Amino acid sequence: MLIQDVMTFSWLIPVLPFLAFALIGLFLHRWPKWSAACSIAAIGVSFFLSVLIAVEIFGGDPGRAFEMSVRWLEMPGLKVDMGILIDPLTAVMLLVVTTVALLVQIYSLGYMEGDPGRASYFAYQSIFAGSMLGLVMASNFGQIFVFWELVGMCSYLLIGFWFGRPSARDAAIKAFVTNRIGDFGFLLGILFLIIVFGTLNFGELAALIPDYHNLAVLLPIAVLLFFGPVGKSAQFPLHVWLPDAMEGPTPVSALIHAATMVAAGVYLIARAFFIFSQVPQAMLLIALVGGFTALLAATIALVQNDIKRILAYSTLSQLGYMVMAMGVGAMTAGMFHLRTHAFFKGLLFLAAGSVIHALHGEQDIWKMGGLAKKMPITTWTFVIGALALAGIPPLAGFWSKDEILLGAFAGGYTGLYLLGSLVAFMTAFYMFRLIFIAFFGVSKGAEQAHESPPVMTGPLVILAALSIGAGFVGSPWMGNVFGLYISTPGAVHHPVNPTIMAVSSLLALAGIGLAWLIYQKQAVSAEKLRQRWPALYHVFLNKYYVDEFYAWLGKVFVDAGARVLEWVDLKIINGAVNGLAYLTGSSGRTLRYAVNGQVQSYAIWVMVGLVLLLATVLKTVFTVLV
Amino acid sequence: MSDFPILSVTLLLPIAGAVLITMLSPTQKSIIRSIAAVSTLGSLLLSLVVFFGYDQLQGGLQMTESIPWVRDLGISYALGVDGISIPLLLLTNLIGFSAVYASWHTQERVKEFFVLLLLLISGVMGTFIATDLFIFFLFYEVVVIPIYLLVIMFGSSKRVTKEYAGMKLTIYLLIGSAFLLVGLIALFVQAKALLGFPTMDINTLARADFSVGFQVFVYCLMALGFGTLLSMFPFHAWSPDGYAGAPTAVSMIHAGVLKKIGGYGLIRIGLLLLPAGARYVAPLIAILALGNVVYAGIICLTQKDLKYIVGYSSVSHMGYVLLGIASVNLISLNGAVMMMFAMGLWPPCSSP
Repeated sequence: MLIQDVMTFSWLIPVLPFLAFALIGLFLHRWPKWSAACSIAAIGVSFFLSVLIAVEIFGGDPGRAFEMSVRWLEMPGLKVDMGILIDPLTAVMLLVVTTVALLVQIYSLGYMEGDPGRASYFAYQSIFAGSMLGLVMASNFGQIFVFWELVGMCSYLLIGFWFGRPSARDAAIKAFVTNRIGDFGFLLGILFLIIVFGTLNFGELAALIPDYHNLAVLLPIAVLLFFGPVGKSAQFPLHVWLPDAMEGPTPVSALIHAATMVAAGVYLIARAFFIFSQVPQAMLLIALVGGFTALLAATIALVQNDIKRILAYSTLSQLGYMVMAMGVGAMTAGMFHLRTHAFFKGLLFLAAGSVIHALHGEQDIWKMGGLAKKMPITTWTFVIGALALAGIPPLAGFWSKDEILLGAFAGGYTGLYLLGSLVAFMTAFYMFRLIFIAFFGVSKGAEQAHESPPVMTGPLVILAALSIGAGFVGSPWMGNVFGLYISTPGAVHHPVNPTIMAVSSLLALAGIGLAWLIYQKQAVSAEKLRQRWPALYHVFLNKYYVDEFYAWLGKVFVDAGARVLEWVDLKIINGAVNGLAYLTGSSGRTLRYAVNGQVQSYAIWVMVGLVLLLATVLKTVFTVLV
Repeated sequence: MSDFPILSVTLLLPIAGAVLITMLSPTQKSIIRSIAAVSTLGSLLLSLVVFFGYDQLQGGLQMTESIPWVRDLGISYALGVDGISIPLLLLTNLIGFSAVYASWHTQERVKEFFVLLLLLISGVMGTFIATDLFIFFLFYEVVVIPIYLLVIMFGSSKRVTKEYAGMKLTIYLLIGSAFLLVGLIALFVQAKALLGFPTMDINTLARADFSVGFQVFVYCLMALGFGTLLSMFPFHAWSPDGYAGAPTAVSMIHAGVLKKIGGYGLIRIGLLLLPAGARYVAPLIAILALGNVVYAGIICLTQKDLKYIVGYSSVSHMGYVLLGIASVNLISLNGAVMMMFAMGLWPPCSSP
């Protein structure tokens, strides 16, 4: 098939889910089954088209790209296009998004069974899929921003899906507000780009920027653009919304808050890599923010007790990993990890959802236990996902995590390499802490648990297969084809280093071993460890008190500032107006005594006037005479 | 079709509806409602015809109508639309029809309510399509009276009484229009001296070569007059109270289109007739606009009454419109008009 044939239909990929959304919203919402079918059919066709595109792109030369656009608005000094750009980067993202979205929607058939809001749930899923696909296919910054905001809106709607619960409402607002801060910087960065370069098109910018050496302009642009990923990919200091976003239905957490939307920030850095790679200071900032987030989140994940929260902090940590990879210049490794992470973290969330479903909403891992016998498919797919996440060879996570560590090490960032290795160890530990407590060990109140229906376990099995196999395209066994296609000027790629592979694998095994010793064998008491370092434990458990700090900031600065201004508005501005009115009124009230209609008083005033006049005249006469 | 006075019909349909309603008994509520609905729907459909019938390639003023009225003063009943007024005309009718729909279940004094509402809608519409300064000002004044009566008769409020809200709104608008009147008379007199003949036609006035000092003076008057209507900081105090005090339908018109008359006037009369003055005063206006955006935006954060949130946020958003006008370039003006249309749509949606 000719490339043009597929590409000319590629615009259907985001449009179909949008159509499904419109259909459900307008007509189908009364019939949840039809709504679900419509949504799944749309994403199914999008998936099929994405596969065709991937076949085209990865069947050809690495540099092949397809672009088309229509003018959206034009006036002197401003041109805004809507277009699609399909290159290997887009093709990878399309595959990841459509695969996970399709599986999650199928899974949702089981998970959301009987929920009264199913129809709107699938409508939101559709509009999310459409927006996310539009985001990855965008050919310019303006368009990416539009879809960026749309996925943020979907995230808000889906986190707050069970809006009857105050915690869900609060979480949705928190996610939205936190993202606004990031998006504000992102928008400023985009505006600077159009002011300086006059275009927002990726291709045109990529041609202009390497010859533009004014760092004083590029640095603020790069840092402002990085605000976007900091918000959307929940990097420190805007990471606080993602753990709370777990208030949404679990399939939503899997799709939006683990696999796709939160990875959009990483995708944006990869897409705009031609800007970031020109500014070493910005790259360093990105690497440090990423590394710090990875460590911060991993330490918090060590002590959490909610199955979804552990996974959420793990997601934060892995996103930090990807951002760090971008910062050290290993763009290929970052995208590779994004892709494998989407599969195994999606899997972990869906498996966790299967557990929660079976336990009727129970999320505390200490109240689970012994699930392995009751829910074998869920358990073993979860274990595969955890192994992939921990980076055990030859599962997917091993190859991608290894490439990131290699990139940090070979790029000269030894500190970040050590930090990354430490995080890898912690990752293995907290994941297997979860597994030993929740799935093995003694059953605590999980007697009625039963395996989920096939509509839910099916996606688990497929994702487990992907978690095992998805890494091979980036392995030396397959000649590292992934790196062949996903690369840009400025991105570095290093030869395989067996020592790093061995060290990271051993660290992961050590983490698993330690978790086994503490929680399965109980050779070391977790309680004693806790008592030994109480301060550290509480800092981790309370997420470094960042939420409390932000709440305090909001209270002291925002609320108080607003109240001060409200006081100004009520007392000074309105006060001046009311004062003026009062002045008018009271002067009228005073002066009216002069016109009270009584002839006697008028006569008195006439007399007074007469006396005054006479006095003046007399005085004059007197002065003249004397 | 070309002879059909489509703008006049659009403009006068609600007034005709109002006249019809006055002839009915107050007890014929459903007929009154139907007349209101039919007349606003008719205007809406006609404004859609105008919207799609406008020749974008040609641009400029189209569908013009002109009937000489007072020849000695150069006043004529002149209507016309261009790219700035068409979106606002459409917006007015969209909101007008929705306002009638939203007050369908009004039970008390239905007759007075709909008569006043229809007059209000026509008044707002008239300001957007008048191409004669006098007619523009006439409709501007027509707006104030029904809105005052609607607020004090049908309003409700917690923070202040509805009488206070209505009176505050009316006095603000009247003081604003006093400044405007002085400015308009100055324009007329000066233009007559420069051109040699009296005229109130906006496009003819634009040909007069006003001196810069005069332009600055008149533009300041305009900025005060239109700025008050647009709720420019610090002349915004009427807006949140007026918004919260008004009945829903009036709130919709108030935040949706009434304030847009201010923005529209500043563009149509301020920028078109007094470009040098506009440029001179622009920095000051921009600073006040930032006051709107930030100050009212922050106050929103502490409001607990939904109507006050919308009220303050509409003050904040009009700041963007003002900022667009103060920037005096093509992109910013496009943004200002687009913003007026876009933010005209949302307060009605969130009117409780």
